[in-house]
Amino acid sequence: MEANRIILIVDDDKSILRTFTRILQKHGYEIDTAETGKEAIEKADKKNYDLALVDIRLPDMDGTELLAKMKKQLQNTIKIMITGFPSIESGVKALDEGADAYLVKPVKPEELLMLIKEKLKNKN
Amino acid sequence: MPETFEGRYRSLLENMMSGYAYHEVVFDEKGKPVDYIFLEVNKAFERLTGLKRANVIGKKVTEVLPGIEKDAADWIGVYGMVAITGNPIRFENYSEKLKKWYNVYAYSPKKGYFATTFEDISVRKELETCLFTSETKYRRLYETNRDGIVQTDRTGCIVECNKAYSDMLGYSKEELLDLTYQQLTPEKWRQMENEIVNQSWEKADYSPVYEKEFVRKDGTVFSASVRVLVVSDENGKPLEMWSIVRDITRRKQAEEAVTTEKNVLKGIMENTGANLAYLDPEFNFVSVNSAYAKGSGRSAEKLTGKNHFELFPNEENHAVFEQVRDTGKTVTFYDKTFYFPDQPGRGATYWDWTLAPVKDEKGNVQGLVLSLIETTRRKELEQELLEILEESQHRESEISSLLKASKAVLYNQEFQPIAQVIFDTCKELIGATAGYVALLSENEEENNVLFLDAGTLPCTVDPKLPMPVRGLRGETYKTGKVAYHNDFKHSKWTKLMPKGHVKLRNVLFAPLSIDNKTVGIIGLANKPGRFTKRDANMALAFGEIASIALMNSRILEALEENEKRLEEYAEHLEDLVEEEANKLKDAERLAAIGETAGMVGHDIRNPLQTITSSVYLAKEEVKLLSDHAKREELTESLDTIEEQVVYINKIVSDLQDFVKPLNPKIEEVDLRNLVKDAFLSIAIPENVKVLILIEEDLPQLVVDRYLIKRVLINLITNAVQAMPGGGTLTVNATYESGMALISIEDTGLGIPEENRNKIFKPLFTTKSKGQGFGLSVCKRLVEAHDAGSITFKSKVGKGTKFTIKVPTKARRPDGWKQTE
Repeated sequence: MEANRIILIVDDDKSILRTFTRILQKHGYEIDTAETGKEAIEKADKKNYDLALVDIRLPDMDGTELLAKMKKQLQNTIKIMITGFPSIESGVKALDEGADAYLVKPVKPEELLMLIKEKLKNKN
Repeated sequence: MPETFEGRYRSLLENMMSGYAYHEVVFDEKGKPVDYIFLEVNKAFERLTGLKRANVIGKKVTEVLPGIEKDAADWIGVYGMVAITGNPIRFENYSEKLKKWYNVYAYSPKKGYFATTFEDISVRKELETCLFTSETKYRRLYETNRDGIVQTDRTGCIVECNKAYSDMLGYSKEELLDLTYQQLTPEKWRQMENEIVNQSWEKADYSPVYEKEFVRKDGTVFSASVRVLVVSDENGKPLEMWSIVRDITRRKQAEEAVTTEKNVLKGIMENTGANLAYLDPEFNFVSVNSAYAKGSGRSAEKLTGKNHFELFPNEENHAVFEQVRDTGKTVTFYDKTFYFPDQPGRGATYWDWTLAPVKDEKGNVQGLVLSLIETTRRKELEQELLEILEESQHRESEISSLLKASKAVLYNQEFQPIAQVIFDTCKELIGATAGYVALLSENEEENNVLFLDAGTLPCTVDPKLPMPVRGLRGETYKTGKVAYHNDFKHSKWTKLMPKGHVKLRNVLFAPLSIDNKTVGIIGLANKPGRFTKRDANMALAFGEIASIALMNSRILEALEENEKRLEEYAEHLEDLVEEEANKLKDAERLAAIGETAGMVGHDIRNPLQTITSSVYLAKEEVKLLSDHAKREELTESLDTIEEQVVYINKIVSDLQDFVKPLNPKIEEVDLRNLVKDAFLSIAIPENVKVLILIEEDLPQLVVDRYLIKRVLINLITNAVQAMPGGGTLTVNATYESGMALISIEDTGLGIPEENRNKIFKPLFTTKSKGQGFGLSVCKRLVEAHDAGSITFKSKVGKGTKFTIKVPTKARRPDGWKQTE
């Protein structure tokens, strides 16, 4: 189990935030959540995250837009984009903004855990 | 006188030719001679007087010739005077006693005696009497003669002339005697006259009659004919010259008049349009005008004197000539035909002619005047005119026939009745008595008779018998030209005719053509006489009109066909519009779908994510349960939830696929591999048997591997789901015209009739799960390929077979749709 790894989950869906938080905490990750892009930027200003799980559709901005805005803050952060409406355009855009992965909802928790573990391992 | 002398003298007296007598005059007492006595006479005396010497010597004359004293010649008195006076006398006297004329010379050798010598001049006297008589007569003639008579000397001085001569010249006789004839002659005639006169003088003979002119006293000139007469003496020496002068002014005038008249006549004869000939009663040419000569083809000289009927034998005309001559009545003909027997090349000539008799005062026919006007040219012109007229009438009937045929084309639409009119008109115009109209069969081997007119002749051929394209009609089909034969029964084609066929004397075939191809014929037959080139041309024209009719009717048929199709299409259009409207509705729906698809992605997938995560957490919790039964039960429930999440997610995916633009990536794909891949993604229940039948040599597909794989997965999934109770799933692939036909067949439920036209519509779902977007997406994916299509066949209770058609490598490269 990896200690002290901090993950920021950005999603406007509280249920998703809650369930992901529970699952990831169970696997020893420290979790911060943000429901809007603005909140995410504020949080990232105060803290360095090892990994960010960002929904592409946020109430105040696009997830990829958020990536662009937080480029500095998330410079050393693994960025995983997640969407309910995948498209090639959004996928390409996400990768252009420095995303490390692009996942489509509903993501199987096992797969998500495996991806996070792998990405963090590679990071170090 | 001496003896000898007397003897000689006597002998002379005795032998001289003249009579000689010596007399002694007897005087009365008063000394008047009253008688004389013959003393001597010679032989000539006896011969000349008829008195014998013996009877007269010594006798008194009154005894010898009693009554002489009363003779008018008073012989006794005359001789008495000679005897008394001694003066000789010569006289001629007639002796009434002796009935003779005597030329007497009386002389007196001794007073009272006289001798006479005398000749019998009775013959001369007789002549002289006659001469006197004629001279009187001539003198009278001379004086009263209308001819001038003039005597001139050798130099031309007028010696004597008659009254006529002086009248003619206007001079008195006295004046004339001072003139010469030369002075009365104009200079121009003198030389000629001089020669004539000299000749006559030298020959002492008559001159020929010659013509000259004289100048009258008043200076006027007149014409005269002159004959010179030279009188010569016994020795032929010319003595004097007489001229007989006739004033020929009147004759000249008459001659001129005649000449003028002749010239006028000649002018008339020559310039009249007629050919004129004057013939004697034996029909010999006396004279002809040049027109006649020309018309007969001979010179006038060659005609003159020849017999008309020797030159132009013609019994009929000969009879006419005789009739005119014998009856004296004029005969006239118009446009009478005549063939020149010696000029056969001229053919028939036509003549207006009049034959008129010329009669003398007594009404006897002296000759015949033949007046001819050749009317051949007029006749020819008339003939030409007639021909032109006939021609134009024929033309007119041709044109009106063609018009009639054309009208038929204009006022009808169906071919058959038009063809009938055209045929009837053509037949009538050309004069054929039988025929038909036929069209080429579709296989171009038969001549299908549309209708037949056998005419009045029997035809027992079965009309259903085929009429192959051959023979003379075959020629027309082959060449597209009119063909005709005027001796058909002897032609090589006769043997092709079936038994019972109408007897054909002559035949003609005209083509009906469309686009230069003969597609039918008008056949004509049995024209009395012959088919002509002109008939052929007319038949061709009728054929052309019929062709137009045929073309029209075919175009009309095509139009009707198109109209029908159009109607059908119009009807279909409603469906089409409905379909399009539906499509539009679908599109609207799709737009709505598209608009909501994004939202759906989040709004459904977010809960799905929560469910998935929750199920995960729940399962983690369940693993910790010690109650095995409970654990199993909960796990099963969680699995079911997971399954349903997958299904819901599929619907969302389909929906999103459906609105997503397609960009197929075309590449060569092996169907077997593709099918294999597809089956890997699908769990096939054990009760479903799978058959894969792919043609050995099926070419590589030219498709987007992932799109077609999704289609296959979709169809296979459907098929499996259609067979809940199991069955056979067959994947079959064949090649056809560059395309692969891939079918997925099940032996399942089948699609109910009412759903069949909806199954490709998006969001259509049956109550049983597994449809949804599936088929509409399949359709969309297949149709994203060049010429791609999807179809199906279904029977309720038996199963359904979907077939997709996609391009292969063998399809023509230009048909490829190269897209990014």
